[in-house]
Amino acid sequence: MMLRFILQRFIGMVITLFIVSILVFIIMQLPPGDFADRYAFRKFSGGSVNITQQDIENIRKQLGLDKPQWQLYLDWIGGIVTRLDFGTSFAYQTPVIRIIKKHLGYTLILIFGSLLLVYLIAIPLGMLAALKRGSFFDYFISLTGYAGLAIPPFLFALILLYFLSKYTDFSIGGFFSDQFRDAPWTWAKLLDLGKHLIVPLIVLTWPNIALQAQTIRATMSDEINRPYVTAAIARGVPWWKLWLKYPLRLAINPVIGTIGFDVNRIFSDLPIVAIVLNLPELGQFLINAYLDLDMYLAGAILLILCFIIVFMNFVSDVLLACLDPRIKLE
Amino acid sequence: MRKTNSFRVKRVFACLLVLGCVLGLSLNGLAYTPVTLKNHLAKPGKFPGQYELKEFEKITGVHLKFKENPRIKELYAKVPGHPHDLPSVDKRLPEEPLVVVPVEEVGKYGGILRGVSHATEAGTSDLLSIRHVNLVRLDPNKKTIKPFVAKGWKWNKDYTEITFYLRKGHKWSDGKPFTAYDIEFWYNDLILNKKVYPKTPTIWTVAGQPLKVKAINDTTVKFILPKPKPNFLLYLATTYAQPFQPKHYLSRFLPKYNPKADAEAKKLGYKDWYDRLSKYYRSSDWKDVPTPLLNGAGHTIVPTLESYLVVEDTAKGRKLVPNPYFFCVDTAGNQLPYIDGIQESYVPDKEVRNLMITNGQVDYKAQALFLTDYPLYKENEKKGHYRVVLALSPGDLVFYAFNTTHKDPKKRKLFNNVKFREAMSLAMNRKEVNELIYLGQGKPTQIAGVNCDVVDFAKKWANYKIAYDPAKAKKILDSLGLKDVNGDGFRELPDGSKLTIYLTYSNQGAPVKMHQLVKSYWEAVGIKTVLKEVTSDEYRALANKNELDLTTWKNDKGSPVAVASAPAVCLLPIFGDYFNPGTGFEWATYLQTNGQQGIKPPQDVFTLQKLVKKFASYPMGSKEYDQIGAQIAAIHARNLWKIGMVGKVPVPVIFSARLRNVPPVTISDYSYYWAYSLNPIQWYFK
Repeated sequence: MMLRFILQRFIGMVITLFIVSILVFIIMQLPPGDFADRYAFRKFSGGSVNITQQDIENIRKQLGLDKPQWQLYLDWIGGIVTRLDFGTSFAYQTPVIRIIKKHLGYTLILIFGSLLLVYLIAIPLGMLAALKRGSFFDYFISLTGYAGLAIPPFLFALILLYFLSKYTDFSIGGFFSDQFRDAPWTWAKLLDLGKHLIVPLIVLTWPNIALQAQTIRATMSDEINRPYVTAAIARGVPWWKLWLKYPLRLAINPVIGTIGFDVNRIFSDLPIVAIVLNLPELGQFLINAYLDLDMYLAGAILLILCFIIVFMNFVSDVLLACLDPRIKLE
Repeated sequence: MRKTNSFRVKRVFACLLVLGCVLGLSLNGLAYTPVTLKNHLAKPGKFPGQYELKEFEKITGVHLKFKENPRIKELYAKVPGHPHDLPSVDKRLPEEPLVVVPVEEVGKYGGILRGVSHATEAGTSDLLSIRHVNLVRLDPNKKTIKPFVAKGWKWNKDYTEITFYLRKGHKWSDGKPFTAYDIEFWYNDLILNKKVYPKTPTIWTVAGQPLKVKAINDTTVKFILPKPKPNFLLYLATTYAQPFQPKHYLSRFLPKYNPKADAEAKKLGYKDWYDRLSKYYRSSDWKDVPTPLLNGAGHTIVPTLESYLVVEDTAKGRKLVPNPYFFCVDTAGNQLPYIDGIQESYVPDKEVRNLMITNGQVDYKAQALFLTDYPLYKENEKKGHYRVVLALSPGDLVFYAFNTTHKDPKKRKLFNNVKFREAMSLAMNRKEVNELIYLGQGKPTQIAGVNCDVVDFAKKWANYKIAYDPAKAKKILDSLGLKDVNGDGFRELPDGSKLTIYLTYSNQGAPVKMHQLVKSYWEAVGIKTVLKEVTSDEYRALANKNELDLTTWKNDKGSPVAVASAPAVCLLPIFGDYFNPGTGFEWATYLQTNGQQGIKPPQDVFTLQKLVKKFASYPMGSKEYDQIGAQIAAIHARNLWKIGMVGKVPVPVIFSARLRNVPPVTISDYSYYWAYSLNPIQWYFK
């Protein structure tokens, strides 16, 4: 039965991705112009150089953009399905696969690192807030949480960056300081990466921690007032065994069910944060590709990110089923 | 024989004479202080700031011994794909190197110049301009064209043929000889190649026709122009493009020279020979296109004549090292450049770039800096160990151009009335715009087709109709029959129908605040104005389809170099180009189709056609150029097709405090190609 469930979900995933790819392509063709226009404008406008339509046509022909759009789409999808060839990025003049391979690792670290951190912090915080409901601690958690939710992520990142640069001598932005960027992997380099990850992780996790902590707090509060808890306390079950084994397991349900939403939120924020902090990872490339109408690169990155979301939704379904036997898989 | 006194005296005298000569000669050698612009130790040569080697030796009497960067071998070893054995510096320099006079003093080797740009091919021009080379270059005085790669040139009488003389023994960065055949190859086999450029690029044509390039011998090459274009030389001195490519390196990719080129390319997995060639020469003379290091073609770079060579090219940035075959030395014989390398990082966000600058992480930046950030830069000069200067940006003068061939006949009639345009110009409070947007640093200026604040022959029109006189504007509008009949505070058209002006703009063309201010000025005299912000693409598309009420952008085509290089662009309809259109779209159609389509322009436009044709045949700065230019400017000013706002706009330029030998920066913009006219090859770090 589990197998059928997984198969169903997998087929659903493929269909979703296919529809997304069409949407991505359509969205990209909507604004006037194409990469040739954007490129020519970027390079030649503002100077004394005289550029005509013919020159832009040259660029267009050279890039193969003068074909009709449906043909471009079919070429692209055909390439992916048959050869895993995601096309060539116009901006970098290199196969899209190369760019993705180089930067996928950092994107995954950021997404899954944030995810892990969110749950590691939100769950204990939520629990404590539920246990100490109404106390100063409870209100403090809520307040700081909402503050993080309210500030737009790019502004948050800039503020943190500003304070960092003013009060420490940290190098601004990027994953590594100048001296470690090309150095081989050592513990020192790992430490440097860790230091640079602090700001992005704070910015990405704060809103989600706030949300999930509140969720846990609410569901835990529900559970704490149940008769079985009072009975267990009366029986003398040690507090740590009590809280963790029973109420928490129930309270976590909604959290696990919304893993997909968390991932979604994290990488909605990710591209802009990555641009502000100059982190060379796929989110930043995605935005730049859109601004340039570099469609194969944008399309490929979007497909990959959608795949991650769909996959995480799938994981959350399975986890939920495992954790709560009340939920049937049909 | 007895030694008489006289004999003794003669002997002593002779000894002293010999001693004196020896001392004199050696002291002459010891006492040679290298010439700099600051110490004026030698009289200037034919061109300011530099000498040819023979010229230098004749003037100073000094025979230069050439020296090299002590780290050059170590740095050159990093260059991918180039042979690593380096001959001595004497053999690497041409027989006739260019002797460059340092601005302040002879520099030291060392240091890395750090820069930032947006991405591989965005915002990189100022850093490219540091290593750029061309046949000629501009002196920092922004007026004198000097030999650079070429050691001289000769025009024919009517400016249709120019011959360049190259340096004997000049070598590419891989040690192979650079000759006139490399220039011929570049034009005939790449620019004219229909597979590489389906249509010949406009910048390498004159009046729509291609040039002819002929190599006479190794060091002589002739450009034959289909029509006179005396400012072709100015174009070469200010363009981003380099009119040469290594024939010995690229010809193996072309079927013309290698019949197996197509088969070899297919074997390596390319679609055809052009697909492979495009990895090394990408149908563009830009030097920031991805090198084979970035686009995956291989661990190599294409040989170049520039002062720096790419050793690393990734999606995060570029690293460069000095070119050991670079053809310039300073007045002490040291091979240039002094600085050990360039490190370029890509930072797409403007605020982060600003943070980096104020943190002292950037050694030179000029492109994409804005006056509104000047206070921020100034505040942090000490903390970041840099200095910020203000230089002129001649193309930043914003214009508003009403659509004289509007699709709506009523608006067309109104916009075509020069009195209306004059009224709208008089309604604007340019002083306030200057204060609020340009920190009071600019100067209100009119546009006479060209930018009157910087183009010499138009300067007398700078103050034409720029007074802030809303009362007079209102009187003119009244006299045009634009009265407010329904009492809503806004004027209607003479026939009573509603008049609304839609001001569509992109935030890349001019500061958004200016449009808001202009709306308030025009509404104060009773003309209803509606603002609409769109993307640059949309603005372009709408404007070129003749769908806008008025166009507005920076008048970059009206700056001195742009006017001289392509006068027809800013002086004839559409008074702009595809990216920055002006007005008179149907007039342009009429002229292009010889009257078959479009709307017949006024007589002034036909007069301009004749004048511009004559104008284009004189070099910038000559008497005829200024005379005819003045006539052209008068016609444009009278017609006020483009209304100017504030000119003499300064922009900030950032230099590290440790950077020396930088000449005074008067103009900093793309049309003078950023640092290329600032003699960057002799900058050094103290």
